[in-house]
Amino acid sequence: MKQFTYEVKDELGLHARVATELINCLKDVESRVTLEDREKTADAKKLFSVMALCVQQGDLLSFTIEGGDEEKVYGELKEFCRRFL
Amino acid sequence: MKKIRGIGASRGIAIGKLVITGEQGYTVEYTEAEDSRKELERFEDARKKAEKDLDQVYLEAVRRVGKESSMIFQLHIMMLQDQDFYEAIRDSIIKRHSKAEYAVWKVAQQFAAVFSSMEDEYMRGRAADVADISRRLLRYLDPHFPKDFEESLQDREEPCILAVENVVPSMIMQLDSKKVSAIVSREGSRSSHSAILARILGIPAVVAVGPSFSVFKQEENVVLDGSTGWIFLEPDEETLCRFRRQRDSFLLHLEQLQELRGTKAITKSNRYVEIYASITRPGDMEEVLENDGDGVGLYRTEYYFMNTKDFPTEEEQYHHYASLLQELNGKPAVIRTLDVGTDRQLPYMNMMEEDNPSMGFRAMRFSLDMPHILVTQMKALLRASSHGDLRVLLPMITTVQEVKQAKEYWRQAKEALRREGVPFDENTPLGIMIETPAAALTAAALAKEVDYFSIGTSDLTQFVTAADRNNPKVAYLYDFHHPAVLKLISMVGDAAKEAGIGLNISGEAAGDITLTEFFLQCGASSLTVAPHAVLELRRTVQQLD
Repeated sequence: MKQFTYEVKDELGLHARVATELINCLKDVESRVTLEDREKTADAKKLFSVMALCVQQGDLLSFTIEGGDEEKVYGELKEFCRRFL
Repeated sequence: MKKIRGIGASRGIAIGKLVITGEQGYTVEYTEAEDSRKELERFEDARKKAEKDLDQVYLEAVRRVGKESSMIFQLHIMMLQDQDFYEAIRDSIIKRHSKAEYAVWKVAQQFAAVFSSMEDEYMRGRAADVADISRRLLRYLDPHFPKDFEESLQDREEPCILAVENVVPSMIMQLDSKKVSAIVSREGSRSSHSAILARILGIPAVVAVGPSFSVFKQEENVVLDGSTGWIFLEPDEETLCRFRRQRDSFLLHLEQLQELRGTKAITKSNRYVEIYASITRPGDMEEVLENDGDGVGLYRTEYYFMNTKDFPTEEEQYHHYASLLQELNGKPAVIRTLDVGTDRQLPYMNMMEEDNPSMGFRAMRFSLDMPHILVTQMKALLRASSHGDLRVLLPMITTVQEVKQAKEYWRQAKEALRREGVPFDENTPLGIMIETPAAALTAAALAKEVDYFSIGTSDLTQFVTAADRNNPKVAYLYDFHHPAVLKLISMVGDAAKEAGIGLNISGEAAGDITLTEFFLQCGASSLTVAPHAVLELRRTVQQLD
């Protein structure tokens, strides 16, 4: 299991366009990826689930990755946060 | 005559009959299904069809308004494919024996409610997206689903003004200009996706009229003004005449300007001047091409840097600049290095508060203090130079010494690329902004160091008149017609002529058509204005002797 926390810097938070990018990014990923924000959790591969978190600027967003490709996914998600969040 | 006011979301005037359409009060009652497996099949079938429709809408949108503005339809496709959404509908069909249309309607309501209850305004707006996809499904499932706007417009011969509860983006994309001349909606905002699309496509729109919406009557005569947000119901003859004149002159104006596309800004005495557009983000490129700009005269890279999470790497910047040049297809682009300061902060840089940021630690002063950032940007720019006609511009120069220092970094950037064996255009022009009085007064010395000048008239005026342009109390002093400002511009022109280098005029004054002749006399080889002002300025030049 790999974990990391990221402070959201984007003004709009995790908005719709970024959510679609996230879903695309995890499309072929085998690991289970969970997001946690303000004590709510979401399956990072599901659009509505991610959007329902209503992640805002300044939130501490935790990623938990569990599965065969977790090392690779961990790196990709860190890069994803840097680019979009 | 009654008049009501909403928010003007897309400019233009429309006169015509009002057609109210929509699904106000539409509900689906629960009835038990006979064969759940068959209902599931009906749903799956509708989902496939809706997805196919959306793929079409997406492709059409990309073609007409570009990829960036079409992202919303990608979101809709993903919503349709979402596992939770699918499973909720399937459960309703299998476990509750719902009919497919009830399951879709109910689940969509539940999902939309999650968004509607959010505090964040942006997220609340996403409820409309859920409504949009459920509408797509219900059209295939419920024979009683209200006629959509396309059907209710089928037999229209005159363009009407369409009144809807909420404008969804796909509606804007599907509008037929022969049948609809404008849109008015009860809900909405100026910053919604729909409003953005309406502006790009030039469809007048007034949104957020609120409760006044219920005053509307089917087929009544209305005048809609998309700039002010006013709507006149059953207008009197005088109002009608006034707006007819306004509409005609606006349309004529646009039409006449359109005829100038593909022409050049050449004066009667055969003097050619290039009219460039300025942009703050690559998304503005569409507007540049639409208005037939001769190129990009100023791309302010600070807005790019302000929207990344950290300093973009050389590789990222290279792709960013290269794609901009490729889009221009051979037309020139002037890209300015970073101009950040305390009034334009980078979210990932802590900068000290300053009392007077416009005269503070910004632009070249910042870059020369952090040379690794400057060299990285210069390397990325040089690499991009092999993809088009690139010119690099340095902001806010005060002394010759600064230019010499910057040129040393420019040399280092080239040297590094040569070492790495990366191709670039050795002759990429390097120019400076003339926006401080010091630079204007020493232009002759500066001209020996660089390939071209670009006069930033807005900052120059502010510094020459010592009047903060953002302070309304002293705004009357901030005037680029001030003889001191014009004298300096003329001096810079002489210095450029003497050295045989190019002269560009940018900033607010560049678009002032009463000054165009003066700028030409000063020796301007190009003018840089907002994209929508390009054609107007081209006409002005063509009328000069």
